[in-house]
Amino acid sequence: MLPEGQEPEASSDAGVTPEAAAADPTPAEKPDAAAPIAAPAADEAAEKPVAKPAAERPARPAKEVEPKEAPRVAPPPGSINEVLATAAGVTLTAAYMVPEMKGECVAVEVSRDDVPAVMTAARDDSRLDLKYLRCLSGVDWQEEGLEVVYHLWSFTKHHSLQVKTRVTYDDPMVPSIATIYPAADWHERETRDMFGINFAGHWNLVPLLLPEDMTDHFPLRKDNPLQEIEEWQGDNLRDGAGEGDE
Amino acid sequence: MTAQKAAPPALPEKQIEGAPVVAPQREQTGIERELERLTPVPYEPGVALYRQILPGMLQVPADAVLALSRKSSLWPMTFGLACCAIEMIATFMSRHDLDRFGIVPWPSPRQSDVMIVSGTVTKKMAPAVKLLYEQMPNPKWVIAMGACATNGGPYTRYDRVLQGVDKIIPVDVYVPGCPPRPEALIDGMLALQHKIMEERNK
Amino acid sequence: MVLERDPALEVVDMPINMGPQHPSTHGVFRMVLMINGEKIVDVVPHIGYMHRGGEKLMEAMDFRQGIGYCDRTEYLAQFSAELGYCLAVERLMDLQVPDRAEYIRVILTEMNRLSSHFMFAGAFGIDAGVFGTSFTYAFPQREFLQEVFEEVTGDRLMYAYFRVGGLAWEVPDNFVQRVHEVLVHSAQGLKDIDDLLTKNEIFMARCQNIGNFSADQAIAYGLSGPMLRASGVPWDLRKDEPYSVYDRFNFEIPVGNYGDVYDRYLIRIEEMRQSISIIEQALEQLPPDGPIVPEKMPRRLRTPPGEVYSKVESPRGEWGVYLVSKGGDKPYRLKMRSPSFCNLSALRDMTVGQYLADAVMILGSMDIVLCDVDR
Repeated sequence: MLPEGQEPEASSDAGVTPEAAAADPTPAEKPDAAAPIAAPAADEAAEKPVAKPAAERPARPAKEVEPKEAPRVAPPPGSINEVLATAAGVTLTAAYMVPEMKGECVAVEVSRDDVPAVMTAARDDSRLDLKYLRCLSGVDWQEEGLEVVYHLWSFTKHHSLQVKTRVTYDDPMVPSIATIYPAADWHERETRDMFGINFAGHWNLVPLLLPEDMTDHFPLRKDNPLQEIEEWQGDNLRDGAGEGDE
Repeated sequence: MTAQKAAPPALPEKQIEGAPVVAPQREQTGIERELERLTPVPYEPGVALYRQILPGMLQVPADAVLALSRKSSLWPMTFGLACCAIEMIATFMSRHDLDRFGIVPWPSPRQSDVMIVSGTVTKKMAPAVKLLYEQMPNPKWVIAMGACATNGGPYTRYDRVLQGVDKIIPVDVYVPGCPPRPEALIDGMLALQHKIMEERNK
Repeated sequence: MVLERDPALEVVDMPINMGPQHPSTHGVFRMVLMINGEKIVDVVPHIGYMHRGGEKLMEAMDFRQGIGYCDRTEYLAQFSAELGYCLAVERLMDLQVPDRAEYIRVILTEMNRLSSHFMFAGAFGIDAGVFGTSFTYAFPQREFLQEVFEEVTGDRLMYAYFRVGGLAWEVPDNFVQRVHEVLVHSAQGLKDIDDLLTKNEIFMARCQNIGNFSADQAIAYGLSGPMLRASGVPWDLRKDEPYSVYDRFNFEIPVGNYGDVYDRYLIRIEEMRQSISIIEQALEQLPPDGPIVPEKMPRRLRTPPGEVYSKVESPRGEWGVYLVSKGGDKPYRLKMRSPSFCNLSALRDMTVGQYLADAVMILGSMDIVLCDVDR
């Protein structure tokens, strides 16, 4: 299914995907006569998945319409979100299950002012014992503001917890937890670089990955698009640029 | 002897003693071509080399001698930036062994001749790269190793990445690949050696 | 007799800049050390010289194209990076990977761990002052391993061989035999490095009792991998949260006693032995034939909306991928939780109070990959 001399190094190499190979028998199974027409079009779409406008794709059955948001399943009673709410003495905005590698784990949403209380309780309460801060990431939800996600893990209880908090673009401020979890130190600095979320109370919130004088440019925000490829490169990449060779 | 000295010839004898009258037609070897290019003495096949070259040796231009010595001991600065640095180290190591060509890695810019820019140059790193280039003594050459150093490669669309190291320093040899194989880097080094010889009198 | 102190000999704090181009920083890492005599008073690490926006670019690429950026981010443990990324997408798409593909993934990932730890052993030897010998011992072994990777994937460094759902294509016919051959070389190379360094008196004196980190500190700083295990926390994702088919193998998790630089070195050496054992077990259990992609593999990779945090045990620690999808064929947000970044954030607390010459050893014992730190 793969030509021998194919160069698999580039990330944009086309047409060698396992999905394309697995889908090879599908035209034979298709009931209607549209199969021979649809097959080359689909191959082309597999080659240039980004640039292909949606209207030119072969028609899809209606059942593949995706839901806009993941369904939110409430955690079963007795989960750690109840323990967390009582231990921290705060009300959680929401609690639901999110998929993990195996099974699911609890995700809670809290308001930003409750973050230090929630984190302190999660670390110190013996029923939670979430001493390990795995990851801290920012997500830009555009109209719905910016989100900070904390991934916590307990070595003793073997459970994990996600804590999420939302802030608006106008006031992107979250209390720092670098004193509670020292691991959050660099994560918070990185999130400030990338999303412009200020972590109040951080001892050294200077740019980490970006140059130190760059405090007004947030690369990972969605309103900060990627650069266009230079024009002379674009000419070479356009359709029909290399036709004379073949 | 004295009689010959008393009557000095206007030009040295072109006819070399013992040379055959008709040269056998055969293809020149590499060293023969190189010698012919270097020395103004016409090459006479079938005669011991030293007898032909020694008379013309003093006429070899000094820049050719300098270029020959420069190209034979290129010292690249060990300057690993990103993924290409691993392949650069692999090229220096025993399997590919750049020492064969007199190319020895050197950890300081002050004694190096070549800068191998092995990897993406970001805008934060660009002043340091430029400073390192300026610290190197003349003559100096730059090899842009890999797609990122050539034009930004896979990361060219991100605005913190310099779209090619030639935006800040002059580049002599571009080695394509992501990352280039060690053989490709060796080829780039040989191309640089060739370029040094070609540009010897400029 | 009363000695008077000469004010000219007073020791004052002095800043020393190291990097971004320095042979011992393993890339473009810069740290400004404030030293008093030879004691380090303060360390200010500066990173970001290799920040090239892999996370941002992967948001613009579809799921298949993102695999290439995983390779280039973690360029010493490419298969681990690819595996973590593919596992995240597979979990969201709810794909079941065939057994044969899982075994080949495990074999290649563990071989990659060998090659990564060989790189560590070579570079760490140079940090300790072994002039090039450890490097010239380690690199031929890497070449042997890379030969197999090249035969399988077609490239020496950037493999892009793991695909969502399985593998890109079938391995060569003589794959099992070739891996057996290479393991012989690797075991010999491991013994060479072991003989050269482990019981070397100078090396031991250079490594022991520097950069000590207790278990509590290591957990608080979010260390992972050999750094965490050297501090005495028996935590390995392959054993404790098994992914892929790691629950089918017998292997030990080495744990250190003192949490110093020497322990971290010993753990990596022992991990290599365990990796060889895992590969041999996997070769025995490898199904001789079978599919390498799921039967119902969709033509276009589209995930339902949702989020998942997947994690694998890379040679440097926990390589996590936090993938947020809004549906469609591209990730909405992709955060790479790189072990190098988290381990490096503990550098300040590890080096303050040590001698200047030991800072290089402590940095070397972290085994950082700078592209992985800056992403």
